[in-house]
Amino acid sequence: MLKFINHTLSNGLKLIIIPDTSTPLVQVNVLYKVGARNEHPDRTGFAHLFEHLMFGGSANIPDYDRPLQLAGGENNAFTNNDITNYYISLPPENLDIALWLESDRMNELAFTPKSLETQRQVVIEEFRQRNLNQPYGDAFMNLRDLAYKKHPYSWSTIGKCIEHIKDASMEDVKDFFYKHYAPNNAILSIAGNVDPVRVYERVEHWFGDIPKRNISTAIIPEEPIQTKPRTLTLERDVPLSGLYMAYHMSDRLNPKYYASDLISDILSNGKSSWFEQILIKEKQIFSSVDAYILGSYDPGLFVISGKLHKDKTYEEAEHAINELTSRITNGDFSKTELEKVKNRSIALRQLSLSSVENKAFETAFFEFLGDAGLINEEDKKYMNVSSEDIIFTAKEIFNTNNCSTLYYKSKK
Amino acid sequence: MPPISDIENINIQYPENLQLDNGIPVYIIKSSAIKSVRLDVLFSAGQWFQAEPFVSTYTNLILREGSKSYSGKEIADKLDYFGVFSENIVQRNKAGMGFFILNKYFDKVLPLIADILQNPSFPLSEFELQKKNTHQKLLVGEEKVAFLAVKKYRSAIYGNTHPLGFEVKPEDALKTEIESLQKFAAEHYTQNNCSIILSGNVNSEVISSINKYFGKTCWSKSHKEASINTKFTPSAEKVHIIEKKDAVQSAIKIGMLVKPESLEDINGLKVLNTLFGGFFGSRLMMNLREDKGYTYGIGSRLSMINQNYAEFTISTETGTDVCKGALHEIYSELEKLIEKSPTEEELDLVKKYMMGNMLSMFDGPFMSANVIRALLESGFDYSYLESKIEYIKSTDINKLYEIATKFFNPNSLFQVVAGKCLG
Repeated sequence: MLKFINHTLSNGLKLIIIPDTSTPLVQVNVLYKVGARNEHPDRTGFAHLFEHLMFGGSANIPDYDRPLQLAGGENNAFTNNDITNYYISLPPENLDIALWLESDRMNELAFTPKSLETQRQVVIEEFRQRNLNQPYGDAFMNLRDLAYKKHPYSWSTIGKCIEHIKDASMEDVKDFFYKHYAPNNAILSIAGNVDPVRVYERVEHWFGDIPKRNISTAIIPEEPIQTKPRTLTLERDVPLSGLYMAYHMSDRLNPKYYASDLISDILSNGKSSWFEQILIKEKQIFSSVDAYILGSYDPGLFVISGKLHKDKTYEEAEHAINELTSRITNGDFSKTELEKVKNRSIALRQLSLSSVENKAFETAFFEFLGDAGLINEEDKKYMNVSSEDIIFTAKEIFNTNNCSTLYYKSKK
Repeated sequence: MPPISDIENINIQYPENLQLDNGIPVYIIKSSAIKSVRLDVLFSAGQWFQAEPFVSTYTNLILREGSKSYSGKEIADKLDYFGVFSENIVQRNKAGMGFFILNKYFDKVLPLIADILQNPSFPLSEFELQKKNTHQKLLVGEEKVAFLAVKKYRSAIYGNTHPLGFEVKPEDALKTEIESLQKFAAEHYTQNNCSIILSGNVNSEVISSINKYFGKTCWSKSHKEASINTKFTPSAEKVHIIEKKDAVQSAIKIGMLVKPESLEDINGLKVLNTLFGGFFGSRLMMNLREDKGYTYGIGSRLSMINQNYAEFTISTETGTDVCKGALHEIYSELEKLIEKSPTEEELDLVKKYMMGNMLSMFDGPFMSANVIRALLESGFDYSYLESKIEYIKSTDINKLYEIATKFFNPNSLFQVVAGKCLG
């Protein structure tokens, strides 16, 4: 059971404090409820570009990194389709430095043209490094585009194309900031060797005066139910053909999420999983193959992806996968197998929550979903999944009309 | 700006040391705040000890595919059922396995873990599959500029015939014979080459189980002292270019082997490397990323590969259109390093950053276990860390300038570019 204290400031900022004396550090995590999901289809990659600009100086602090390094701290950030998350780790004596930095940039950015110019270039290089210059690097972007027709999950966080990043103007940047960056759209989570009363007082001091803002209330289009199979074939200069299958599944808060996660674990988590034992070892169809879920705020995807051995065909590969997914829908798995994936899931959470970094982030993430306290119900929710839940959820997911398949064919 | 308090002291978390009945050293970091134990079992069985490519990695990977008392399938089922997360560890010097185990299942899985590490059965069919999958991974690797660059770079600085520098082609992955693995395991996965790290909730039951399964009697036949080859045969050519026609980015590796003569030299090199390319505020990052926007990231590392040699390496990936500009900036930063000493202000920042970084090395039992693992890998003990802390606090710009001119001769550097070099 993770113990924490939470509080909402009068400007709407959510504060979570997790005292932990086992660490010499304190972790400060600021989550903004904005991600690629909130982007306009003609301005994609913006939430992520914006994350870079958040390090380009704020109204009263020209250089974000330097004071933090002087305080012996480290920081980083990431953006995904749902959120933008910033985090700092530093000695508790210097907590004020972190709060000062984060409150100033929540209040107002410097918006310097030089920062925009440079970070546009940096992000374009990131786009090239991750997506254009890697074998299979553009597979997932294409899979998203195939699976989502209306919902903004149809593009990756990095954006649809480099042009959208090149075209970002200072107007766009300012507009984005005032729409999404505000105390009433953020969660501040602080974990570590700190006195909660003092933390509360310091947070009030630094963040209390930041005004509430009218944040974007734009409605995010719902994804219509898929009614027939979708396929896309791409030919690329890669040594092995790739197969990517995406099935629509529930959102993160839906009880079916837990069954979906366990299904993906039976299929591919660990050396004893079906994919490893049957598809890789016994039948030797794939050199690597995985099943995993996107636990997103809006309904997500259940993804199966693998690389085929040269002497195998797509027909053989799909047939072998379908055999295994049918075993789940037919209830052809043992009690022990279900117990195994539950045990693993509980052990994994325990391991993950042994670090103060994850404690701060995970509580903030559950608060984003609706309630930080949900973090303490995860184990129970996994334990309560029955064989019937697994079968029922699997039947919903593994329906060919619900599937988008990308054939990423080797030209070689 | 709020006042900053300096980090005056680092509370090093020293392990408790003990020896099993048969002499295996055990390092223990206890914490009762968690309900699990991490067990690292390490052997002098890293890449440096291999006589031919792949042997160190293949041997490590085949361990869990079958043992005297358990089939590969049984091993996988049992470890997964009890929620054990395992890690294959293959470094330059040490190799072995790491396990995260819930306390309540520790006794249930330890006999199996001991059998994997002490009595591997080397099933041939699993080995054939392992070779085939490695071959395919390497085929994919050949399409990545970073992979191509690192391979050429290692063979350039260590030599193509040195265990750390073997320049392999994908099809070489298929050539290894299982006998090489058996021989390697018999000589290196032995009791006298073994060390154990326990971290987390290490209670007396855990310790007595470890002694029961790893510490009783003599469980390995060979007692050969593992030795390494330090005859490096770097390439005569300093500059290597690997063309990849469809590349939109190039991977750059620049570096060399350095032979520091004292702890003072090592610590000086570490501080200098941090300033140069070792953190976000470093000269390389500030110039090539934050000013020029040439790259998503650039950094340099200085790793002690043993007590006597350090590998100094600059790595980045840049657009092919700005690759020449990036190389120019890297060399001009190197020149600057030996032209004049850093400023007081710059060194002050680096010192404070490094102290914060040292503090985070002891953030909980598992991080402290990583410190032990790193020390075992490089062959140092805790006095090295103590000297590093003292050095960071007391060094000055003149000492660092001396270190820079002593070691950073741009003419000794090897340079590898994989991709296309335009602009």
